[in-house]
Amino acid sequence: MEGKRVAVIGGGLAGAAAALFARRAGASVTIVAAGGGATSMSSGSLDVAGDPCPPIGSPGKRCTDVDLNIEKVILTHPGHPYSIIARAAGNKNAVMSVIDEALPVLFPRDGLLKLAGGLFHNQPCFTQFGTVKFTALFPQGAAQPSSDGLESPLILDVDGLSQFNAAAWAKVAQDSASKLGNRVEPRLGKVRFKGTGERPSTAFMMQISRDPDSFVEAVSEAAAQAQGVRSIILPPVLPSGIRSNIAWFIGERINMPVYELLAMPPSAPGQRLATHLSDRLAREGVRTISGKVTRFESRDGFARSVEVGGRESVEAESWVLASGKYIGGGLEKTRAFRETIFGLPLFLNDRIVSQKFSGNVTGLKVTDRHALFEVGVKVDELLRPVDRSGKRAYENLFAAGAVLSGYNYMVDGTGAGVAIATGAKAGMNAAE
Amino acid sequence: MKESHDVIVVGGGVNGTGIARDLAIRGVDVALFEKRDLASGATGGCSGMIHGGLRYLLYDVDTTRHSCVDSGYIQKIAPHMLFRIPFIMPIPHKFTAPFFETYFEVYDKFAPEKRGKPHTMLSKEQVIELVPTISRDIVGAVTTDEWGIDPQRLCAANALSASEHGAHIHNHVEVIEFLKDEKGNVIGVKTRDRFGSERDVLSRIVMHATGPWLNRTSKMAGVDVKIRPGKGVHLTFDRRLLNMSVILEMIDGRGSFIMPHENTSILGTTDDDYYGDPDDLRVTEDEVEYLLEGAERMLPGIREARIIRAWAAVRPTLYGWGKNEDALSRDHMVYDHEKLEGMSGIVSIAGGKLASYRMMSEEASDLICSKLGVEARCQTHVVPLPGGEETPDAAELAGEYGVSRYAVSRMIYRHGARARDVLELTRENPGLKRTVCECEPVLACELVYSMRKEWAVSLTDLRNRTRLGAGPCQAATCASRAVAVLAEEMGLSGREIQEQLLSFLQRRWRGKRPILGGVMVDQEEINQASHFLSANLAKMAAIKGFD
Repeated sequence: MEGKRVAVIGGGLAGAAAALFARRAGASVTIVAAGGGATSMSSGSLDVAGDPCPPIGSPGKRCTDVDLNIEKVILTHPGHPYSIIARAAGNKNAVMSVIDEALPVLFPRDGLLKLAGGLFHNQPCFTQFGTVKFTALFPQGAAQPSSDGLESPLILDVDGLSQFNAAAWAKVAQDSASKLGNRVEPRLGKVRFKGTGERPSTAFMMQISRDPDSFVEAVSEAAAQAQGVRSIILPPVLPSGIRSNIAWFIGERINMPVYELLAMPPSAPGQRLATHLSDRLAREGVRTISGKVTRFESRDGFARSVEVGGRESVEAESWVLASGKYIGGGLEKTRAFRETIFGLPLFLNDRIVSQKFSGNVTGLKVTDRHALFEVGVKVDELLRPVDRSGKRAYENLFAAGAVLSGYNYMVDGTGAGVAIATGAKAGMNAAE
Repeated sequence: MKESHDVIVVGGGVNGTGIARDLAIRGVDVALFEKRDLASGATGGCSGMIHGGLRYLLYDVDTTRHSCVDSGYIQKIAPHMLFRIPFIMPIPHKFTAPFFETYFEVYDKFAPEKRGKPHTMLSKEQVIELVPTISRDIVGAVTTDEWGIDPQRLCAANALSASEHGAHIHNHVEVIEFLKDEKGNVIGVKTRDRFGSERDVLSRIVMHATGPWLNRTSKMAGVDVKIRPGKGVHLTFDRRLLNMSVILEMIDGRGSFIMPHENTSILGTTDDDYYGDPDDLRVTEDEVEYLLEGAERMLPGIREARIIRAWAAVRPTLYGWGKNEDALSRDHMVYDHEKLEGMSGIVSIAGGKLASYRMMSEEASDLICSKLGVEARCQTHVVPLPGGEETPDAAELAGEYGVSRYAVSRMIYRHGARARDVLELTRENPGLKRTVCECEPVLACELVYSMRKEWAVSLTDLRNRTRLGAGPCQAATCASRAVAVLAEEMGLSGREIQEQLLSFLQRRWRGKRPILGGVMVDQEEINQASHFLSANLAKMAAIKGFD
């Protein structure tokens, strides 16, 4: 028997979680994806909960206990999606348990993308810029200050690539490591991959899809030039391809630990994450339609159908809106704010926000917590968006991920966690 | 013994650097002090036009005449930097046409001085063909033409020329006190550099050219110079929305324009009395709306276009009472304080326009030379600015050094004949051929050149010299690449690298905050997520009140 027909709008992490959970509940699922969205630009790590009040400039003193951080978020931010999930379940551990349940569904042990880290502690990983980022889950082979051999690594420039600079990385990394009480003494090296041209860009690098063996050769040549190094660090530019743990793979072959840094966009690890998710969806029998939603229809308080790319029509009994924030295309701000698909009212601090000067939703300093990134739809306890009167907008519409209001993934370190938790819940609710 | 010079110039705007150049060419020993960066005040924030002052024709004909004459000279000494901007003034009603006709006939008389073309009358159909996005609610238009320039490059070229003629240029060194003898005459200045170290420097004459800061520094010096500071706001669009400048009428009847400028379009300007701190200028959304509303009438689709930045500067307009801001004279004044107040050792300059900076510098330098007993005459109208000797062929240079022809053509615009010197840096280090900023574009070698030759010490300085990060992405992708070039050349520590990056991102943010809308919000989400989330920059660096 065919299950309930569920359509998910959005092909990022939240959309994938929703689709996979609806599928698990027996629904027949269609995903409408406009593009990779923010997931494909992410660093490659998955943030679940940062310290809500981190001491600036002393990264070593922040709280790294994910459970405790979630608890603090729930206590201090009643509108946060974590708080909504906890309230609905009547249990503050509900957030952690849904994420725990979702991770093996999204990233099965025998899957292509191997994650390291865990849900208990945020761990420091080196970024492409030399800073460290504290995060729960990260790609296998991420460079951590405590990784084997990292006290004397060889950091490799890719010849001609301007997005990464090993010398600047080394200086910033030394500063970061010392703030954490670690020591890193990097040596500088250079690697040239065949077929990349004289001045490759990251975007170009990511597209060259070739046998990983040629990378092994290039890296081992570079390693042979350096004396006394105990590990190798690669900038995150190697092709997204099918092999997610490329650094680990090269390391196995040359018999020395090889690590890769977390990325800034255009991000190879982010691309891998996106590739992995589409692969998971295909394997689980989720149908994917690529394109932007151009029109939508409802009847008697139920969402009925959407038109994709001005041609294809998708009908469903139940809907999940996981269209993301501004990057993803879920929200737009011109003079007024707008939810792009269903025209839902948008909220900021629990109040409807319509026309706002950008200066009124941003701080004077670029590093401030900007309300601009907290705008989104407001949902009830079943994650159904509400209309202007505060009642659910449609009986059969659920929302997940960055389109939600009440949290600020930019500063609170809950981006991936909210996408996974609300995605899984919305998917289950939609399939019910 | 204390350091001493014939002349100390206070202020590194176009007047300060122009005067330093004029005096240095005449053989005078000059030192210039700029507290922030060259051209970071009124000069850097102006419309970037070497124009004739069409709007001053009705009430300030001298300014129009001076501007036109000097425009001709500037074209001779820095041909690589100037680009022609055709202007059209739309005519909204039949009965206004004869007035415009007469007005432009008068303006034509000044045109040959600036190698301008005489005006033409265009029919409605002709206007629409030239500017397809223009409102259909016109009967025709009048044309004129003007010249555009990058004011920051003009200023850097003047400083470079001054330095090559022996002047000492001190960028990021603030004058914190005017030193006086027992009779109250100025005998030098006390300076403080960016590391906080202080030094007294003596001189026979202090040239006081602080522009927007004049009211403040005049008090400090004890001289009587008063300006009526006027805030001017511009908006930058991501591309050339049109190939001609269109003159606009704003809601309050004031004039304004939108013009193609380098790779972008500029809409401006406002003109409002400014009582605030010239070091802390912010554009408000009301100012942005004022400009858009004015432009929308003639270009109905303007709100669909992508604004990438709003910026402001303060005009050091001569003081006047009883007039609206836009009706104030754009004339300038050189103050001989010995004659005016009996205080020797100091000369001030105020007012004026970018287009007539050279002539103003000449006037001030003449006065200084007469005081010093120097007889040499001004030569700034005949001696080319650095790079202005000849304009090299972009394709040839690009082929010779193996870099993109487009990047070289942009570089030639900024450096003229000196583009070869810039590219020569890639011989010893071919890595410097890499592109740092893709929007403009800017190559690594140009950044290094600006640090070695043009007194740039920060990413923001590099932006001022090269347009680094001035394109549509507003430094979202180039900032971390550029800081690596800066770090290598300046030997920055890991901590300084992070501080530089943060402070540059903050400078960019200042210009983006009032205009965030549409695709710029997406761009900003990417920018902040990559720097503050993926690279976790803000939480790592100990930030001390950066701005």
